[in-house]
Amino acid sequence: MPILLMKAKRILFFQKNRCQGCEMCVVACPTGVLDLSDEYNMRAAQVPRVKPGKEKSCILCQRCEFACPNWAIYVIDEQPGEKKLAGEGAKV
Amino acid sequence: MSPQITTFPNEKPELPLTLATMGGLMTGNFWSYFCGGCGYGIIFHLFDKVFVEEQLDPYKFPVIIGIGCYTQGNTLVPAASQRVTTLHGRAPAMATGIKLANPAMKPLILTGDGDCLGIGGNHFIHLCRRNIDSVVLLFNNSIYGMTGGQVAPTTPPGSSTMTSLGPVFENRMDGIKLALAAGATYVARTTVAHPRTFMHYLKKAIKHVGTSVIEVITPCVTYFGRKNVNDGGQRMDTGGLLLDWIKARTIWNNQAKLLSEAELAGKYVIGEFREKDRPEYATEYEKVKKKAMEGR
Amino acid sequence: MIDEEKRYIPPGKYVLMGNVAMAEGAMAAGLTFFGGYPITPSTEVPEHLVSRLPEAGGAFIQMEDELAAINAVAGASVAGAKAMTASSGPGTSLMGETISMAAALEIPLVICDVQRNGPGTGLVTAPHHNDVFQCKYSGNGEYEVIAYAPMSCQELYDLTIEAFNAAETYRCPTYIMSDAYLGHLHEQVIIPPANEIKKRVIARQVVFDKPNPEKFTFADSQGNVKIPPPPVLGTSNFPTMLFSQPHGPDGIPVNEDQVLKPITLLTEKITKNIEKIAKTEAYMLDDAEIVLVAYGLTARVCYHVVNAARKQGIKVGLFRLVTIWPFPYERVKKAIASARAVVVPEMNLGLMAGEVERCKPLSTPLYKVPKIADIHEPGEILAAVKKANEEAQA
Repeated sequence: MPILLMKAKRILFFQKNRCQGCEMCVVACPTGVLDLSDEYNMRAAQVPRVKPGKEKSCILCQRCEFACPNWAIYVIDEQPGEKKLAGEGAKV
Repeated sequence: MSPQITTFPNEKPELPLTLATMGGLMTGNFWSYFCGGCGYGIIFHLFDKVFVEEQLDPYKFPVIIGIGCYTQGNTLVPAASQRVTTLHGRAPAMATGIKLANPAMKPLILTGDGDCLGIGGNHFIHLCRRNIDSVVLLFNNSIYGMTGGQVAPTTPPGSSTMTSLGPVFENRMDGIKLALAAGATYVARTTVAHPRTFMHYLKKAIKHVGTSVIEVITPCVTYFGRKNVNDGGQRMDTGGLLLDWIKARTIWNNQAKLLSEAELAGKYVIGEFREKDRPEYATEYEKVKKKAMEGR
Repeated sequence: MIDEEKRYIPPGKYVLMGNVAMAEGAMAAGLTFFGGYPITPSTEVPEHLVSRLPEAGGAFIQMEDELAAINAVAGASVAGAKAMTASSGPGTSLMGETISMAAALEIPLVICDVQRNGPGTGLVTAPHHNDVFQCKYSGNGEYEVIAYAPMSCQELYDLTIEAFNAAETYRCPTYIMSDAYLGHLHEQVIIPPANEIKKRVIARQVVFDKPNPEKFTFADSQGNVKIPPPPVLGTSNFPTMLFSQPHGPDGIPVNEDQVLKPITLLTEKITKNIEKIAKTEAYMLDDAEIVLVAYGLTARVCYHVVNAARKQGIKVGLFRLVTIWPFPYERVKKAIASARAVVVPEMNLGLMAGEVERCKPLSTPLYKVPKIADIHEPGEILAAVKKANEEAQA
């Protein structure tokens, strides 16, 4: 499921086939939202998942996005448009 | 035309930054050769964010890349940027030539621990000494990753590598102390576990006039991680384990001031170490030129 | 404001040291960046340019070693400057890797090699033409270079301008092979007026309305090798990336099964243009039975030897190599085809004699006249010519 969770029109999106199973997002998450699932993607990597029941703990802080070497997990607006590139930056 | 393109089917919505990379422009996808758990994927994400957010003029900020695993970041830097890949260790020397030929430019030098502190040590020292207006991003993964995990000048004693028999007994050098001694004017160290700090330092370095050196401690899971164990005796063969190992050894410089030398051994001290202004080389040379032109 | 006129010294007759003439030639050719390192016997070049370059709005820097110097020169050339360095044998051997990179990326570079005795440190003030193969083969990989061998201070001035033009046109490492004696020789040099010099110089284009479609040497639809002008960093005319692996037209490295074409083009751009690049001179060759083949200062002595030998009735002529690389095999073949003997005096143990030997008929004898760490006395070469003549008559 590429959309891991959605909050206030922003989604935590996961590019499953890009993941290499390195677990850095799991380690980086401050609220312990993610863990390694039993699923394998087409790269034979074990991919992360949102722990059942922990969706509400995600604060969309983007730490998992900044910890992913493959840009496979990221926070994005539900309808990303042209101006999103500048808008994303304003958060930092 | 193209070398082996390794992309995997992606779904919408794609991260807009991905499409702004050079690889993204060519393939519409994330094109990267980096290993799982490699810090360079993270670093280039942050570098691209800063490049795009600060709206850096690609003609003013050429990206000078040394030889190492990060050379593969050619596919991940912004498509608009102008890329020059140098020989191993020579990036600071080429950047000096570029800066003097076109003083309006500010080279962004991407280099590694072996590239900058090993073969390129001399050039690095003199770039800092001259205070040439440039940004040196020194990626320190404590190993020679591209060639298969050989010992580097920054490998911690006690580690296991491909070209050291038994635990490494060579002393580990500190690139920040070298930059400080050589005279760089904005010196900072951070790790990939501190992404927002890295972006903050990078933005500062871009605005700073003079040589800025930002060392980034990054994990090399495939070689350093797999061949070494953490405090719990586990082989660090995932990015998460190696990242934890780095985080456990990281200490901010104001906290480090309270510790003794023995306690600091083996730790990565992060933070800003120097931020001052000193006459910059190209600016001073412009004065020399002006005087010479008026002279005769 | 850069005063372009400060680049040129007032026209007239000067007495200039060889190294200074070479430096002035570089200034006349449009030099805007010099990165160097002091080494005897080339130190006068940076010492002269330290004040001349900034006057004309250029940049001079003494780098921390020769590796840094040549890399700074390569970087400056990439950024649009006409760049040069000056060194001697031990320095140019350090520069090998970067010269190889510059050849791969087709960056125009000029290297002045004021040759001295070797190997190793050598006798630093003694001339020794022992870098004639180093200049071609010091860098790894297969590529072609252009190397000039001047024999007078006037030629040091004029051939330097030509060397810069050759570097711009053919985008390869270009050498000026001077030596310790020639570099310090004080001789008359005639400097022409600035507007005449400007007509001879191929300037670097740094402003582009739109980028050239091709950034590197390519073969057009008829198979002709075409060399576009060099791209400039900081402008729209720049390839996708510069990375010194065999690459396609956009700079991106090609797959391993496609490397033949880019590597072949690097060589063909010189070998297919050899008639335009190679410069040779013939003196009294028409009826020559003994042919002298020489370059550099040795050639200068050979002119006197030819005159003296002719007075003694020996039919001798001189074939002079003004460019030693690319070696003009066809022309040398023609020049010595009907000779009864070939004499190759060199200020080394006989390096180029090997190349000459490849061009001569098997039956023609070749005599080497080596001279180490000094210039030939005319009598030494004359004795060899006489010996060659006697043995040829027998």
